[in-house]
Order: sequence, then structure tokens, then C-alpha cells
Amino acid sequence: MTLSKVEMSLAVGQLGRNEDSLMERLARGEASAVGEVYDQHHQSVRAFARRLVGDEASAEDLVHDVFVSLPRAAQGFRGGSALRTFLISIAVNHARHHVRSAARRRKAMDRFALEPTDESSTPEQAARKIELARALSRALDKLSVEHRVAFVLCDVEERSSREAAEIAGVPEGTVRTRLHHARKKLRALLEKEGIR
Amino acid sequence: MSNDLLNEATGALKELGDAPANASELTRARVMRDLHREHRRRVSRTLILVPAAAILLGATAAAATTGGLSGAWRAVVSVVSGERIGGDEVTTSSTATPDVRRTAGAETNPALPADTAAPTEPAPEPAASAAEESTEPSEPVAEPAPVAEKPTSAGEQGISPQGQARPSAPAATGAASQTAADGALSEAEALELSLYRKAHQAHFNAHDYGAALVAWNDYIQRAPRGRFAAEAQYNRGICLVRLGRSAEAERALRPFAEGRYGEYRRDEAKRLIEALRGDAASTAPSPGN
Repeated sequence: MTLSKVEMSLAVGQLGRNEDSLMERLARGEASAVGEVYDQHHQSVRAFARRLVGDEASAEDLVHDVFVSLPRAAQGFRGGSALRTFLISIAVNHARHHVRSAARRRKAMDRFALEPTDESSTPEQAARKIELARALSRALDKLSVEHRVAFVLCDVEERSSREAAEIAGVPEGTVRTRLHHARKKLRALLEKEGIR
Repeated sequence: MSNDLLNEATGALKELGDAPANASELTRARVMRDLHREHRRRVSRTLILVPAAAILLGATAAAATTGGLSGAWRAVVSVVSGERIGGDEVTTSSTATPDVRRTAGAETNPALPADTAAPTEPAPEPAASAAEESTEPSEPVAEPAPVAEKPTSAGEQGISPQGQARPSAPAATGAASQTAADGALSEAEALELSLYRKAHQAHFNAHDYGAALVAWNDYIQRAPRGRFAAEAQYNRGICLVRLGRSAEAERALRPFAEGRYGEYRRDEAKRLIEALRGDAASTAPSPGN
């Protein structure tokens, strides 16, 4: 038995979910709709969260907050952007608290000099990457949340300034200005750390 | 140096985000649990506020009818504003007298605003919130067995496919969730999650639909009113489609197509059933052969 029609229906059902009806279900508070959105988009939200806060535990908390607040946020969603972009903008709105807690945790870890887990086959390269990522996270801690968001969205996640502006809810020029200042300050902070 | 170093550090931070995370399923469970909890809280609030509003309305109407409303209102205002009322002013109605006498000597309650709304005013808000709440999916409505009775709120716009977390009475459910308020999952919740995780892994990660079917059946049997019961039923139907068991698949998907789970998966189920029937018709032997 050929399954072409069935396969097509499965593909349509699985890949072509109507985002409009999904948003309606989200706005009504259907938990299953939140589950669906989580399954589809949790990886990209988590990746952004980890890059933004630089700490896995805080990133998970941020991911949790994004999806728990999604039904309420969906009520104010007016379309005009993809669901994934909308989720990232929710993460930005919730970021402040988690950025602070991650920074506190990082200070505590540095104090106790906890060794990172090395999973790379090239220990030196892995150690270098970890050192750089942590140094950059420490430097990001010294930026305002707005500058931090601009940097992570544009330089780390390589989004366009237009998209970053949409996520952050500010004009594109503002994003570029924040990015410029963020880069300048981060370079200075990395130099000061003595990273080579 | 700085540009290269910043770029290098940026790349390292990017990789940090790309690294696989192990906590995704646990976070998902936390999200669903907290959504469920919030929904129960809203329902509980409504169940308390609506009767309270009704009582207040009834009492106000009765007071207005018997003529004690003005006296009672003055007493309320006096309590709110911290003024003492003379006994003569308030003892106009026998029904209002006992409360008024108690409040006449009451001290100012600093928590009460000076311009507390009139007794009739709070009524619309609880009613509005009740109306709002009534459009939300009620909890214990989704029947996991496809041949079972229809969900009671089938006419509402959104039936939550999330069944009741416990087969016991709602009060017990509320109590059980309260005792788990310290954030730890109960044993039953942990088992349910474990069953769901196993089926999800087989279905969506390993694409082993035979194993997934067994796992979804296991979930449905052991957590028939679990939070993911509707999803499990639907995914079971998909497994049957994938395994070519068309007749069983159609039986499994029919409740969704018929709207017994509201709009959840209704359109997808309809399309799948049509496709299954179309395939069956096209592969049926032609009369001439």
C-alpha cells in the first residue's frame, strides 16, 4: 500500500502546523499548545538563553519562564513575526533576573575555582574555548542587559540588526548603537583580563 | 588583537549555546506542571469568588429590599474611613443592626482604602472573571479511551486535552499538588513523566514506531488521566498509520476527527483518515482482475 497521500498528510500535519490556530490555542491557555510549541522551539530558545546568561542552570530557568508565560504573552501577540522570534523576545523580557543570578553563580564558581568538564578530544583547544567563553560571559556581566542582548543577538546568534530590533522592541538604529558600545567595552574588558 | 580575540570568544560562546543540553525534558515537565498548577489556582479562585459574589449580591439585594441598605452602607463607609458612627444613625434596620454595632466601635483598618467600592460594584468583576474562566477548558474532561463517553465540555471552544492528573476527586488532586508545592514531583507524576519520555523518545527521536506504539499503550494504560493522555492517544494513532495498520489507525484517530477533543488535532486527524481511505480505495483490487 502506497502511503504517499498519508505521508503527505503526516508531513502537513507535523511540519505545516497553522501558527495562527496554534496562537489562538495558546491564548486560550491550552497546555497542549504550549507543549507543542516547546517541542518545536525549545532548542532555539535554550541556545539563546545559554548564550545570553552563560550559565546552564539559569538558562533552563529562563527557558521555563518563557514557556510558562507564553499563554499570557500570546494574548497580546499581534502577528507580524514568526513564533520563534516571538519566543526570543519573551526571553529577552525575562532575561534580567536570570542574567543577574547567572552572574552571581559565576562569581561563586570562580571563587571556588571549579574545573570545567572537558569533553573535547583536544584538551588544549577545549580548555581555550571554555576559557574564552567564560571570560566573555564575565565581561558580558559588566554590560547592561540591553547591551548584552544586542551583542548576543547580533554577534553571537548572528541575527540581522532588523531582527534583533524586532525582538528587543527598539528601533534598528538603537540596536546598532548598543552593539557598537557593547563591542567596544567587551574588547577593553577582555584586554584587561589579560586573555591572549 | 582585540578584534580577533573578541571574535574568537564570540565563537566560543556560540558553541556553548549549541552544545546539547540534558535538561530539556525536565524543563518541559516543569513547564507543564506549573501551567497545570496555575490553571487549578484560577479555577479554585473562581469557585470561591463566584459564590462569595453571589452571596454579596443577594445580601445587598435583600438589604435594599428591607430598607437596611443605606444604614449598612453608612456603616461600611464609616469603618473604611475610620469614623465612629452614632448608634442612632445606624440602627435603622434590624437586619443591619448587629453588624453595624460591631463595626461602630471598630478601629480604622489601615489596609482598607478610603474609597472602597460600593457593595454592588464588585459583582461585575467576579462575574466577568467567571465568564472568562468558563471559556477556559475545564480540567477533567478529556476521556482517554476513544470509545468512552464524550467529554462534558465538548461544546466549548477549547477542550484541554490535558486530563486530570489524578483519577481521584479534584479536592484530593488539589491537596496532592499542594503537598508537592515544594517543587518536587510526586511519585505518580514521576512515573507518568517517565512513561511519556520513553514513548516520546521512541517515536520522535528513534522513529521506532513499533516500540513507540507499545510505549504509548503503556502510558495510556497506566496513566489514563495523565496530563498527556490526549497526546498519547493521538501519537498512538500516528504509530498505527506508520505501521500500516490502517483500520486500527482510523479507529484511533476518529475521536479527534469528530472533535471529541475539541479542535486539538481535529483537522490533522480528518486529513489522515481521508488519506487512509483514499489509499485503501486505490489499492483495492479492481473488479475486472
